[in-house]
Parts: sequence; C-alpha cells; structure tokens
Amino acid sequence: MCMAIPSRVIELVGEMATVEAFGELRSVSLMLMSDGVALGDYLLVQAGGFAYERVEHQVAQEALRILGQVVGLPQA
Amino acid sequence: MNLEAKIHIKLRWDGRRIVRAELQPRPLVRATELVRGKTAGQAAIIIPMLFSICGKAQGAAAAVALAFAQGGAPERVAERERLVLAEALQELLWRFLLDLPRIMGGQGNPPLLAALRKGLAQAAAGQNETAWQAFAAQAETALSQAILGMPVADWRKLADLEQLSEWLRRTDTETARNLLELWNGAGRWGDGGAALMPAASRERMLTEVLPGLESDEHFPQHPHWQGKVMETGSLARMQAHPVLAELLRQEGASILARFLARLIEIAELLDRLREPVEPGWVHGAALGPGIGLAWVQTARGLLLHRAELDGQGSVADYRIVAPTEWNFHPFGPCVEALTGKPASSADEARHSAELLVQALDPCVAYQIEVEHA
Repeated sequence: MCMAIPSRVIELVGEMATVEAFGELRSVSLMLMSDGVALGDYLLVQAGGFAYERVEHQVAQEALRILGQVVGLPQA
Repeated sequence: MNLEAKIHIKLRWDGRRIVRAELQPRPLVRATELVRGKTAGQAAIIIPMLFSICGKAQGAAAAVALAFAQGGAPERVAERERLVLAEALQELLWRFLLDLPRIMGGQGNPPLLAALRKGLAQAAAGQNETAWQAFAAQAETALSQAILGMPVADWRKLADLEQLSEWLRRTDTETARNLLELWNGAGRWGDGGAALMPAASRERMLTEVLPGLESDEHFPQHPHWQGKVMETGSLARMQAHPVLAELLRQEGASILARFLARLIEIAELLDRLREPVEPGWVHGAALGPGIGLAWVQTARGLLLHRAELDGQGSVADYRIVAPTEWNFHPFGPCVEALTGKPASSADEARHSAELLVQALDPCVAYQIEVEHA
C-alpha cells in the first residue's frame, strides 16, 4: 500500500533510466527529476512511470532490507 | 511478490456496453509485518520511509498515532500540518500538470511540475514562514498561469456552472481544454452510487469507523463506513461547495465533478497553506493504554493509522488504511460506475475505465483487461 520501492539506476539514456528493485527492471522517465541522476542512485517511481525523488543510499538500503524480510509473506 | 502490486480491473464488453466490471484490489503488505517488535521511535521513522507515496501524510499519521499510543500528545503538529497541506497541494497540481493531460492524449507540463516539487522540497527543508509563503506563491503562479489562465482570486468568483462553462470555453490552457472535453460529454458519467465520505470529525471516526477497523482484520483491504462503501478524496471534502453541489444534483459524482473538485480544492489549499485553519488535516486520539489512532487527509482522501504497543513499548499491531482501498473497493465507485457504460469498441471501453480510474486517483499502477462477452 502506498509503497514506492527505492529502485537502483542501472542504465541512463537521455531522459530515461532503467531501474532495478528485487530483480525487477523498469524503464522510467527522469523528466520530474530537477537535479542530475547518476548510475547507482536510488529513485522512487510514481505509478505512471515517472521517477520523482532520489533517496539517500543508506535510507534506500535500509528500506530494501526491511521490505526484503516481508517478501514472500502472506498478503492481507 | 511485487511490493508495488497493481489494481486489476477486468471488463466484460458485449460490443455495445460494459456488461460487467470486476476489480481485484492490490495485494497489501500488512504494516504490522514491517514494524512489529520495533520501538515507537523506530516505527515512526520506518513507516514514512517505506510508505513514501504521500510520505508527509504517512509520517504525520505515524507520529500522531504512536504518540497517543505512548500516552503522550503529538509534538510539532502545526509543522506537520503545513507539510501535509503542501504535499497535498503538490499532488493535486500533479493531476492537472501530468496525469489528466496524458490520459487525454496530451503531454502535460513536466518541467513545471518538477519545479514545483523542487520548491516543495526547499520549503520542507526550510520549515519557516518565509519558505512556506514562497512555496504558496510559486504554486499560485503555476495555478493561475498554467492551469486557470486567470488570477486565482478572479477564478474563485465563478459562482455557478454557467460561469464555469464560460471560463472553460474562453480559456486556452491544457487543463481548460481537457476539462472542456470532459464537460462536453467525456466526463459526464462515473457515479457509482457510493456515498461521498462525510467530514471526518473525531466523533464520527471513533463511533462510525473505528469499530470496523478494530473488529475486522480485512478492514485495511476492504474498508467500510458502518458496512457501507464510501468515496473519499477532493469531491467528498468539497461536496458542499455551491458549484459542486449543483453539479452533484445534476449528474452525481461524475468524472467531471471529481476533477473540478480537485481544482477548487487546490485554490482552498493555497489559503490553508498560507494560514492553516481549524479543523486541520492532521488528527488523532488515544484509544486506551498503548493504543493510538490518527486520521489524516491526503490529496487522495482519508488515511488512517492505528498503533498498538505492548507493555514494553514495542509495536504489537499496526494498521494502515489508505484512501485507495476506499475508492477501489471491489464493490466501490469504480466498479459500479463502469457496469453498463456504453462503449462502441473494446478500446473505448478501456479508455473509459482509464479515465474513471484517473478521476478516482489510485496511488498505485493499474491494469485493465477487456474481454469480449
């Protein structure tokens, strides 16, 4: 619910990026990112496929660690 | 498991109309699984970090619910209120600068939205009166120039549907063109029969909503108001506005009404952001030893958090009810409004569903499947 999973940038092409989270790849637009994006950055992505926020590495990795613990648990 | 799971909508179309619509809600990760055993302080940090869509509202709700659960009172409420209002303002502008144009075949204005997001980030970092007033001014300029095509104060004087229609016909902004298309027919449907949520007063929350939340473990997935499905969001909050009340009398909760309500609420939020007024958007209550509740308004509607701590002060249970689950309930306004909708092609059926979904505004992605009956 209302979760935006921090997704790591693995490829940059113009205003698009390929991001990865939990093994899933997505192509996202960087048009809403007013500051530069680099390979390895963690981004939050809106449902429409727009990256909208960069997350600090430490925060992103902690979020992914916690989320990783619930992957595979029964869902509500 | 995909943690950002989609809402699935299946339409059965018989060549003339959608004869049946089914909605499968997104699978939810139980909030309890993420924070059980953590201290209240840890949970207050983890929740907005994970539930980062409307993260300011999630952060405020977590802080308030956990503070009451600890037997205290929430701190920095005025500061959180400002953050929640500003986030909602930015989210609602997003709908007009990006989402509505794209669903109507346009491009929107991503650079302006990016600038507004940067302005919000600066204001949130500054956390002082000057920073909030600067963001309000930036948002008002965007609203008047890129969306309304006229000063906000003049637009707010439009007193009835006739004046609103006249504004739409003589205004050359992408929003006005999009809304005119909705006005001319594309958006004059969409009432699914669900009641619009009443104002979330303390008494109503405690007597009409909380019993369901506490007794029904499926409530976060299938929320109800004393057993009834409800629509939450701008239209519910703004339903008493004279122009919207007139439109609701004429055609119910149409797609047009939902988008107009957002626009009207943006103008109201500018005022609130400049000078917050009561009743605010961030509320909470102590429910008993170790239990706290928060109810917070967001752009998409009502957000509920209920926190329960054990005797050691660790989280024993945590429930979050997001607005998307109200509006995308399997028997809610989305499904009911689509059933019977005329469509001369499968593509038209799909586009109708996309438009309605956008009007109800889920915070997650969705997938629409059309099946020929």
